[in-house]
Amino acid sequence: MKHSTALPTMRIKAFCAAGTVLLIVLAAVSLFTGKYPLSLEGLLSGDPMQLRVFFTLRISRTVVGILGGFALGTAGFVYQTVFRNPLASPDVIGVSSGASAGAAAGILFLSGAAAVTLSAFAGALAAVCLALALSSLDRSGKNSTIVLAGIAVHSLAQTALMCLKLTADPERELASIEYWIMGSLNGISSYSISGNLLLCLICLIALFLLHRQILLLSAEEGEARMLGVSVGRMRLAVLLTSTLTVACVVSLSGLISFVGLLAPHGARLLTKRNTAGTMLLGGILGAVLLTGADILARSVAATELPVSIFTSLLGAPFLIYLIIKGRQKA
Amino acid sequence: MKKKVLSLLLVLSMVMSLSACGQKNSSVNEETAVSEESTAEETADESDSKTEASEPEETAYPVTVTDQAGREVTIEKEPEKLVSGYYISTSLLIALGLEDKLAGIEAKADTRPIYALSAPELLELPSVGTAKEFDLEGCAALDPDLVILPLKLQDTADTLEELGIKALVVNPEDQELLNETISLIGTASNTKDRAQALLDFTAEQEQRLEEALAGTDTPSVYLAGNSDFLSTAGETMYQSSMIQMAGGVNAAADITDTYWAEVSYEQILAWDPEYIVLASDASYTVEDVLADPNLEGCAAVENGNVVQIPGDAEAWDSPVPSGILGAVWLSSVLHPEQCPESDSQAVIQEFYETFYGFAYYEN
Amino acid sequence: MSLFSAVSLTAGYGRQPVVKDLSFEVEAGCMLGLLGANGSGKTTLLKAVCGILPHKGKCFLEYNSQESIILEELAPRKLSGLCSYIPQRSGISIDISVLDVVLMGFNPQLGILEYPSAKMKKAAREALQMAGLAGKEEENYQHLSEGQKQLVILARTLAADGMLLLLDEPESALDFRYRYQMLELLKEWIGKGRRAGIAALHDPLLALNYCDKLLLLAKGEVRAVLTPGEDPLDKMEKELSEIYGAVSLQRCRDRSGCERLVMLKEAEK
Repeated sequence: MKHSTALPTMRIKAFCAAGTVLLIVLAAVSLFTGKYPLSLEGLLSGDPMQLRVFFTLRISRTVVGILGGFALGTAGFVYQTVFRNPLASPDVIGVSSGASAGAAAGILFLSGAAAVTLSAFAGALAAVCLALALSSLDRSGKNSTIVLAGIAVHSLAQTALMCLKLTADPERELASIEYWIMGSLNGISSYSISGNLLLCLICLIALFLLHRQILLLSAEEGEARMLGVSVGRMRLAVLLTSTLTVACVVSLSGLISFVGLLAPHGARLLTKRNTAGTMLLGGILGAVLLTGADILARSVAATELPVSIFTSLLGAPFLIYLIIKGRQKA
Repeated sequence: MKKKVLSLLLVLSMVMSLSACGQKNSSVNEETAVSEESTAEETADESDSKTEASEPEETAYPVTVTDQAGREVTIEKEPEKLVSGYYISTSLLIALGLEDKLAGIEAKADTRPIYALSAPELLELPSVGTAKEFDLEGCAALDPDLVILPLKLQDTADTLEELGIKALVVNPEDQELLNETISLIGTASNTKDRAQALLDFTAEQEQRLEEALAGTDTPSVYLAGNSDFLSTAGETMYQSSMIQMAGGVNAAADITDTYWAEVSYEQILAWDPEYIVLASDASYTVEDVLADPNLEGCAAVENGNVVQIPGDAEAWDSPVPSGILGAVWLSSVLHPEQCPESDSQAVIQEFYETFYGFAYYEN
Repeated sequence: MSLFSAVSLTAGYGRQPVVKDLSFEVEAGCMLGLLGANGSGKTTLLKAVCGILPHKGKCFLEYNSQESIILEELAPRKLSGLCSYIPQRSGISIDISVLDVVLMGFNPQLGILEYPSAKMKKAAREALQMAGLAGKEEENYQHLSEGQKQLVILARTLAADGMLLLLDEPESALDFRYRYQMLELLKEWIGKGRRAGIAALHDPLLALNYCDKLLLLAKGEVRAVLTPGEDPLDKMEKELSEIYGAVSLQRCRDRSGCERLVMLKEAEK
């Protein structure tokens, strides 16, 4: 077990670089995959229709795939670190179920895609605020309290969702709710995403600036406190920020399973470290996974398929491979 | 292992018997339904009656019918008290002139304008729930002679049967099945001639459109679904045949899904349809579509050829008794020369006056 | 006035106080040892002083000859800049490099968004070297033995350069040699500048030989205060027997002529 001192950092850098290259390739493929036939010549010769499709639809869908995957991967890393629980994901504090309930309410009572996005966002935020408010009732401020409060909020949101589904008209509203919950990057265009993406980007930058505090939060509460961290407040700030990033993505795309859980694990298994670099790699892996899955979701069948099918389909074997590889080495 | 094979065989045989039932049903349909127990009246003439059947026809009770779930139901005497658990069958019962016999209907009746227009008294009737949540006890409490339920509620029909209440399962998923439903209920409720008139009306219009539109070119039509602009009906769906009858081509013809399928903006732009038709219950408007920046450059939007199927009375893009009016209306949109709007309006007016007793167009 | 003084501390979990109305003082340059049976309130006392446990009473730290600070009134960042705490076992459970663990100790000196400077990294490497862990900077903290982990935490504490050190059985996972090495290190470090330490020690022998004063706790109260270097043996024997059962003490000299205390367990009567 002898490492030269620079090795782990080099490894992280190498993986990040490889991930970025893969991501760029996938992004290029994503830009030229879709139902509307696009060609480089057509774009260069200024075919107005091709340009329009390229700029309003393809680019924005690709950007949402990359940034959304990146956000989910990063947020997953943050949740797992702060909760000191490898199974933690945005679902733990009810953000996904809150977003689903919000979206369902939006589909039932409001009209227009923007309204659904907004109400999904509001639902996610409400769920998280409720979970954090509930957990603050317990003064001891233990991690387990937040998780328990999250489970309570999660079930509440699920109940609300069920009630909303029950009142939904099965022909259209119920179908919309179901499809929303399945998650898809379809229907995303440059007109609908800028607000979400901007907020998401700001939150991501904040998370990376706070990475030292996030790692400190992975120590026990008392220890973190004696290292000068205002544990309660910092944890609240970090969780709120990472939840905002997730809410930004999820309210655009619907639920996307597995990316938030798998990407940070992949990053950790690859680097065997927890640093800002690992967080970055988690984000990159998330982006690769979501972009890849979306390429398949829009090209495999004549219709659009839910992207979660492919995130799980691509992600699960990768995770299993990493686990087996880790076993063999140990 | 053995068990598996056995159950597989069982399933297979069930499927086969089911499809056999289906065949039987359609053959029944050709002869205007039903094997009657007592003296079978001459019904063979009826099948080719393009000329309206003039002699009044009575159902002789007791009558045994096979419903659209393949269940054999014997009805002892003419039902006086009816319950309908499905909006299509409720609408059909109005068209057959049976609204006074209805004692209970499905929930959310107030979302169906046809009831208010044609038989407002239905809105006062007790609700027996929805296909998701059927109120079995509430239905039984009404003590009906005959209950009509959608295929989703087949189990409920069996339960009702055990309670001693006659129930018919209907499955009007497409035009052919709807015709079957009409014959079935016409026979069961002793309104055969009115049912025949309804069938004839549809057949007549189909023929008229076919003749009027022979040889015209067929513009492509994108049909946007109820739940979302990006959901559409593939070729096998009812809505697709409506487009065809009206002299158009379904842009999404290469989609083989039997339910609403999700597509992308890109796909629509690639199809570049000449017309965009919104489902009548769409949760968005024509203005929304015209203003959608993602559709800029699409022929239908550029030319303002975005229309919504009227839903003032009923959703014509669903297999309701008035479903043919969807094709009639759309033909005037796609081919105003061959099918002038005034003709279509006259047909629509006639339909509702004849079968529902109100004037669709107020003059 | 002494560097640190606690005035009528009462603390516990739930309603039952574990530590009742404790008062004591520690002089600058001194190490105070806490001795007591399991459950006598050693850990509770330490956690109360460093503010992890809510408590009644006050702790005063004489910042300099003019200024005295009440620890309870400080924000966590300020407090942790002055007091360092070594838990029985560090709660770090993620894969992280040894150097990064040590660098955590600089957090109180850094703004929330700041990163450790090159100078801090140098100081961290030096602290690791002092703890005998030179060359392990980039190793995975999780792959170290429990004893090595404890030394890393010690290095982190030393690097952080606080005034008051609070140690909760820091030597319990260390083997014989490292125990003495650690205590030597601590004593040397406390001897420099205005510093003091309060340590609950697992091994009474270490406490007798390395602490300037001993606070004997029983049921959350102070039973006795001993000064191992000065008190007569029979007085100390009597007090220690209350905790450990019958024991006897001996003074002897090691080869360099340094006087050492040895405690032997005697048969119970």
